[in-house]
Amino acid sequence: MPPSLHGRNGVYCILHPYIILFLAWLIPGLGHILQRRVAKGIIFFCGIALMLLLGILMEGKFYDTRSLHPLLLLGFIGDLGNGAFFFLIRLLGLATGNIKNVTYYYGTTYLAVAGLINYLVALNAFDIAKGRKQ
Amino acid sequence: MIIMAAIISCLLALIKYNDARSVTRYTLKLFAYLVGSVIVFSWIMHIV
Repeated sequence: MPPSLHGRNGVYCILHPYIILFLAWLIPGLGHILQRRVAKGIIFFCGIALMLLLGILMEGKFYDTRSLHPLLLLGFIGDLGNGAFFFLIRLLGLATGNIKNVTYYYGTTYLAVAGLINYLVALNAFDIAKGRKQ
Repeated sequence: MIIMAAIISCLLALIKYNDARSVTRYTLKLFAYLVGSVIVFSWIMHIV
């Protein structure tokens, strides 16, 4: 199948499904936007960005890999799901966390859950690109 | 917690369904399950 014919259900996309998966992980909602599901893509982007913003405002923290504890590593994998946002936030030094704050654990959970939701969104975009889902 | 439940239920419903009616129904159902289960487990932890 030539790359121009990837995707079924009447939606054609120039990109390969695995590239769609990568782009959907990198920028939340982009996988849907590229497959002409613009409204859904924008809602996914706004929802995930809102969760990240709330997590930062609550002074949550991204999990790090310094301690190498299995549960903390799982948290780190969850955070990594935020794609470009993860690297951007780390670069700007925003999600450093303030354990004295009452909302610290809530904020940390918000940041991790945003990443996990983005994994699901990216997999959904991949399924659409593969033609498994409408 | 309620804000998180609302956002998550909305996004998960959009992942699962395409039509507006199903999305709305699933969002409300999921939101009720999330909030209800938090209340129940909080109450259990309070009495134990």
